[in-house]
Amino acid sequence: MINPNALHDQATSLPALIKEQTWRLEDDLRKSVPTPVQHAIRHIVLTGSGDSAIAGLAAEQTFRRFVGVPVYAGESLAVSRFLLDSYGNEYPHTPMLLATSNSGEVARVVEAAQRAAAAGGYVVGLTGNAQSRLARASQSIIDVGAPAFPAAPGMRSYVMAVLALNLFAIRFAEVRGRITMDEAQALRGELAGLSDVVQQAIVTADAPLRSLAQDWRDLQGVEFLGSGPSRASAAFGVAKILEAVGKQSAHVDLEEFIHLNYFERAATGIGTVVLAPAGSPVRSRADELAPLLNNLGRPWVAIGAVTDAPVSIEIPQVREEFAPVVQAAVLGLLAAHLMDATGEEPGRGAVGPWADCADGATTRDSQIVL
Amino acid sequence: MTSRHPLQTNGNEAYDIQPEINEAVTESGVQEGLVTIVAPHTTAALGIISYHDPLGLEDVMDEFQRLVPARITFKHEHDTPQDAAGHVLSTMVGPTLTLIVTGGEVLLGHSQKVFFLEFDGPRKRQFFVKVTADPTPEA
Repeated sequence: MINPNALHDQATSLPALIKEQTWRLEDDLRKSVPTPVQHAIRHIVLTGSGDSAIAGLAAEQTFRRFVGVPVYAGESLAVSRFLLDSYGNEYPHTPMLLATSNSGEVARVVEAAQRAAAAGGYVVGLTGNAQSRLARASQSIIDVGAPAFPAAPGMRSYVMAVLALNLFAIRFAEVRGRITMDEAQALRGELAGLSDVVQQAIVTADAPLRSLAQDWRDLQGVEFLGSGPSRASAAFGVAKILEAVGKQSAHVDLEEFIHLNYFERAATGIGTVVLAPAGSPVRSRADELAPLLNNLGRPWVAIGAVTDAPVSIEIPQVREEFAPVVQAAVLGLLAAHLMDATGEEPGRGAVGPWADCADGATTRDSQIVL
Repeated sequence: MTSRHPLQTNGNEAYDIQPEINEAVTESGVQEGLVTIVAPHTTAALGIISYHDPLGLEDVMDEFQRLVPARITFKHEHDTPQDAAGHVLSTMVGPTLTLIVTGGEVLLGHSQKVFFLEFDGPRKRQFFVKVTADPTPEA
């Protein structure tokens, strides 16, 4: 049985992980993609499944802002069986596919890597298993494995992937001359400095979220609202709720909530998390959302300061591209406390109706279609 | 006496550092001796160039780029193509200069000045100036 506090332990281990691993990752990936290949990049595709797909979404804005080529972050099935069909060896090393799978054995991600290579793309495998199928399908491999830790719904492997992808974006931008070496190094320093920011966020958020979890333990579900980089965090929050607590959960863009989820009948039974970082361009829309949520009777919390929020967890401001790293820690704490409050077994214990997923079989043992 | 001079470069250009060198010599009080300038960088260099026409300085930097362009096929890939080219240029041109001090001034031709040559900018740079007096003859 997994220790129900192991998820909380994973969250509180993140500051040390970021401090220890950021420069190690930087050192490993710096020369992993040859300079001529980096200069040939025309399109970048970030893919994975589950947390790994979300990691791509979390880093997408960094690529978009700094690298200067079109970038798309998508789940592995859509990337593999729809997107990659549009490439046909027209340009060298196109697309550049950064495929993440900590185990390296998620069939769909392996399939995407193989299809990208067949289409003339350049594949970078981000994995913790250098002997895996993903590693074998990749031209460059980066070890994103976190040091061993007691099992829990994963947080450490997600943060490792987000750090690595952001570092790749910085490196591509630097080599392609889009940013200077000094600017690149400053950005890397910001990433490494997230260790202290995450520590502060944990100290600020832990007690209020423990209290909130007690209030929310009997709710039907939890929804997460965010936009831009925070949309990734919204997705990550859903992932942790589903894995750790098993409640219904969904993520939706901050704007789209008003067009869609606003109309849910069971409003008072849906805990709602609004992600609106300090300094974000979406703050004004979040402030407009607040009275609507209050009128609906939704129990809700703002991660960030939103006007009229019943509960606000204010976390230190960072560059918004890097906010998902900090938000992940906070959302992991919420899931951990809800897991304690509900007494739920993570992953439903992989027993009964969920026995099929034991040992990752449902993600690993799938036919690869090329 | 050794003095340190920070320099923020804005790009790959030639930066006039003669005023700082002259000031260091004056402050040293040395009348007869040597002044050595050192740029502790591997992608920058020092050069003595004619300064009257700014376009002439551009010619010099343009020729450096023509001779050793920032191509993507350098074996050194740790940083950027410009950095790799900068290492080659710095080695070719050299990051140190020693000049004669006489009558309390740097001995230079009327068209000559010392320039800091940036090959991997923009960067935070520095250079050092050391002034040494000729040994005093024993009485």
